[in-house]
Amino acid sequence: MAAISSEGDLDFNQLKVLARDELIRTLESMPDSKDLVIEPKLMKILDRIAGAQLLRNHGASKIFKLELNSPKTDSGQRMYICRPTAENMKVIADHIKSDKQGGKKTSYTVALIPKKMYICEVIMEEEGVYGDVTFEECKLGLIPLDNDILSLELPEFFKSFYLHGDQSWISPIVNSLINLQVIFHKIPNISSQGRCAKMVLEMTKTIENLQGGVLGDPDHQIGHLFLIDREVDMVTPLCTQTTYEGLVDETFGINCGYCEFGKDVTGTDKNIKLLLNYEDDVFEEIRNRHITNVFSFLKAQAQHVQSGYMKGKNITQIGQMKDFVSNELKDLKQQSKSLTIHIGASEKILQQTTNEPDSKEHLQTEHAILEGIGYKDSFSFIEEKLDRQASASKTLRLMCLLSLTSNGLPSKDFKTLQSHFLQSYGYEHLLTLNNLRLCGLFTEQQSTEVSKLSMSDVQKLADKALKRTAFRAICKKWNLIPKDNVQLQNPSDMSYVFSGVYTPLICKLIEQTLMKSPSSTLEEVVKLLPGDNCTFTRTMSAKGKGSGAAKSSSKVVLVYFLGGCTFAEIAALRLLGAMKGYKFMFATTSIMNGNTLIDSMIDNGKGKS
Amino acid sequence: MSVRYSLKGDEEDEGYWNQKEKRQNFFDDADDENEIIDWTGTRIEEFTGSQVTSARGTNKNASFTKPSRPVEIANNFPKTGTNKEISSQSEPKPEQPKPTQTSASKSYHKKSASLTIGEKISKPSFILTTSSETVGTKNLSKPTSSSASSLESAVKRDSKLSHTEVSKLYAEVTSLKRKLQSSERSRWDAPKVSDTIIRMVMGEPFSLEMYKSLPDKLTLLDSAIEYHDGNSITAIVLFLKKTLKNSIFISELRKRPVAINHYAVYLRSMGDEEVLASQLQILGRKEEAAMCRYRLTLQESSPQARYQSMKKCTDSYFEGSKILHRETVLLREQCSLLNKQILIEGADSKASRERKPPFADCPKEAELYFLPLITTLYYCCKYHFNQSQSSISSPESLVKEFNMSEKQYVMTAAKACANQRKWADLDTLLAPKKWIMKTKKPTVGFDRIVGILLKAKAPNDILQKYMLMMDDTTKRLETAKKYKIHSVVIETLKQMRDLRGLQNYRTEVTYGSSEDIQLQTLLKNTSIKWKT
Repeated sequence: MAAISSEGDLDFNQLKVLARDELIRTLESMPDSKDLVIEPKLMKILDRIAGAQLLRNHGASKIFKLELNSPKTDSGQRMYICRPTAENMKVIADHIKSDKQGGKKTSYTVALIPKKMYICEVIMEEEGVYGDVTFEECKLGLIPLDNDILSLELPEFFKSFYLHGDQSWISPIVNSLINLQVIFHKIPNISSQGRCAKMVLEMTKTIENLQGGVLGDPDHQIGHLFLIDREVDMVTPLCTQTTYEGLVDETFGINCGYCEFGKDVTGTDKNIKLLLNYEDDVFEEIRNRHITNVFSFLKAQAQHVQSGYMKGKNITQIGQMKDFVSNELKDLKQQSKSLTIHIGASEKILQQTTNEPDSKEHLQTEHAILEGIGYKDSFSFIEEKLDRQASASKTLRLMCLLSLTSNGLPSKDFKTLQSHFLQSYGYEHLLTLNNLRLCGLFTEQQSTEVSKLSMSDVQKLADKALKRTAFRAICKKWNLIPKDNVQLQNPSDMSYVFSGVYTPLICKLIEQTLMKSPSSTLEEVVKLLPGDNCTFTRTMSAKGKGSGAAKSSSKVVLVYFLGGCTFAEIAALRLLGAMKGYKFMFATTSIMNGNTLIDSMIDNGKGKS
Repeated sequence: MSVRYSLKGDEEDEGYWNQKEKRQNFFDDADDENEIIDWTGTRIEEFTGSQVTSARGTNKNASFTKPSRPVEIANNFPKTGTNKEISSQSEPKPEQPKPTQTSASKSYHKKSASLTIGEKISKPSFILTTSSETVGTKNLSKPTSSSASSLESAVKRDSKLSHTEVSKLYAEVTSLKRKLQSSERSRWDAPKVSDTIIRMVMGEPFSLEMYKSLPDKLTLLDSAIEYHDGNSITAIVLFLKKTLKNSIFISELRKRPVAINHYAVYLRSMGDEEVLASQLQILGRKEEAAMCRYRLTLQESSPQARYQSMKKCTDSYFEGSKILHRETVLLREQCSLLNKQILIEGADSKASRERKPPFADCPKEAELYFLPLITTLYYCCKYHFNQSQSSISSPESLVKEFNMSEKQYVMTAAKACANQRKWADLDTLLAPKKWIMKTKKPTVGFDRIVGILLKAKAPNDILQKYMLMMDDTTKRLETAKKYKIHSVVIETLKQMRDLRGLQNYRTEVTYGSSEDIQLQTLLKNTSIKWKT
């Protein structure tokens, strides 16, 4: 299968085509015209791979959102497209029951993305509608969001795995990995770090064993796979990203590649939804830049566009005019439209940092925490922020950062922040703090009474002491916190994504593994990371030996983030790739940032836990 | 035993009839190596949804024994691609020729010709076997009748049989019938645990109903956990729940934390938190259960009811637990806050209805219930600022009861004063006397106070006054410039003895205004030693 385009990139379009085919197969499993009821969260995903026209071409007559009330329609056939959750099943069962009461005769198909879970059947059986429903699996796995990013678009995964210990999504991840290797051939080198990565790896091995294909493939198009748990580095998502793309995500929220900009950005009276990917030339140019380096480019670009228009004005001959209108004008218009939005967006981002009274201080505190200096000042800044009832999620980010970098707060400080937080935002957030504690984001250092210790306790204590200084030790060993000033304009160090204050740990881990740094230092650090580390190389199948055709592909590296990744990490690895001649491709359960992470942890007793 | 039995298929079925102990069910083939190749790659399409399956490996290590069959996991990809992929990957077994058909591979079976029926009834037995081979397990009843009739004809044909031979034959017939019956029954025997687990992990149809013995059930659960497949774990846990006595279910689950996690996820997704809490409690997750109970109390929408249930919850699930000690303290605080809110709200809503102070001019806006402590403090500062400490709704009493820090109090009170334009109150609040006894530095920096004032859009003269109290001159200058409080800029520049800055600032000030005059006088003043 030719999946490598001329530049040596992997062609993710093929995945898109396969996803579309799978969707069509699902739609056609219910012949003739039918109504579609789609879970709102899946709308954008379906948009990315299909669009409404395709749905209509395959029998969708009316399209509804999945809501509590059954859609008002008389069609005899209805297909639900949703995730295999208990909540969805209950809603659908209620629809069916109310339809029956109303005397409607409808046949139902429930298409589950990406697989049917056991509870789906259990609920339909319990609700007494099992016989009315045909289940269908719509195996949509990784969705190409960009020419180098694939996503399962499962933002709930982090919470469900790390907080509740739910392993139901391991198997869809494994399937996505196996399918990738069907298209791009078996990846010869695999490294993993973390407990989820370990599970995924083991299950993949099991299935490959069953299929009888554990050997390497000489035609492989991806040379190295990294499977990495989000848990390995929780510091990164909590830090404020300083690349343009990262800041757009934190400020406006990018959902499945789409970003909606408000009136204050577009400068018109309506919101504009923009697809942010490599197809937008202006965006492609600025996405990885440090925010301070964006405006100058946009300004130059705006002047360029303007002079382009000027050129049009100066044209005197008809023939030239025709040329201009048919060729350049369209590009210019496209460019100026995208420029307007990006200028508006970067203005808004910069405004935020100047207008909000303590945003500058916030950033300074964040940096001080990372560098491990001025603990007291940082602590009292956070305390005051709490007392002023400033934005809860932003303050929580700092609290968690302080706790993570000191590997748990001293008991007294922990209690102070805990009670001030609860007093300012409501005691019911005890549930939120409990969630954060369980995920290891906001914890208390364990105090131990020395007199009661046995020998094994001493050992445990020593381990704990080691872990306590783990973050600092890793920073020191790998120089994650650069001592010198880092160039932000023409970056040559991955830490530029956080204004030169911190190098994302996972990116450094990947760099060190690929660069084959002396295994002793690698081991020393890896020992301090959560979960197991595993690296292995597949034995090549017999026919592959001796053929060196796949050399260029050995520089293609796939990084699969389990639990989400940030745009900052993607930008950092893109830079690493450019500097060291690697081509990085990214797969993730979802794109995340500090706000989405904290919001997923928040629980004040309302709604579902 | 006899040459005839070397016939393909024949022998296979012979094994089938006789190895009852060895082969427990139809899914269970004997263990020969060739099958691996058989089941891999070449026959992939026949497998999807097919009843015939190979059981491979033991329960424990099923994953790492041998490849036993393809999986339809890559189903959504073009079939050709998948096949090519897999066939190219399959392990060649050089020691044995690759058979082209299943039947061919069967010839490698060990002969186990224990059937004593002899040559004479070999024909019927052949019919019997071929029919069962082709028709499959479901139609096994048919051969019974056909075999009976053909047996009879065989017996008639051979009239020279001795009595013993006949009775021997009849004995054989009964024995065959019995065996047939038992194999019909064995259709309902449980397939190998390892086989079922693999079906589950692969998302193929499966049934758990046949697993009646406890060790089987537990092996199922343990293998699912070993495979890390959450969906299978949930399914098996629910099956155990349904088929085991509660005490056994609980004690087995308690040994397996991963299983508890999935059980809890299931209960949570079913939305019944009451059940979730009680099950977690029995399963030994007391802390988690307590938090669940606490969460339930928050569903109460009436303040009195919530107060009562919260108190009860704290007493029965939190109090006394060493691990939950801190939570207990915080919950007690929440209870007393709610109690206080109920008391204040009772008095104030009455006063508001009767238009008594402090609600004489403005009626109360919102209810106080369930608001955070700091917001409650703000409320008290807004309406009851100058009340004596003994009054229940005075801010001081709240601060005292909840042991709040001075910082919390000053910032909240300052916000209340600023929003209500009570500048005199703000003055008393921030008067240095109050702190001087305790610390030299004020509890709250004036930069914070200025921040509050700016947010409250305080008038310029007030801003001026407090801005000048900011210690950090650089920061003060920055803030004053940003909000164009000229006199503060000028004063600060003077303090910093920055002549250049002062001269430059002239452009910002309106000509002839009071600030301009202030600036001019300063510039003319020769007694100031400017920095150079």
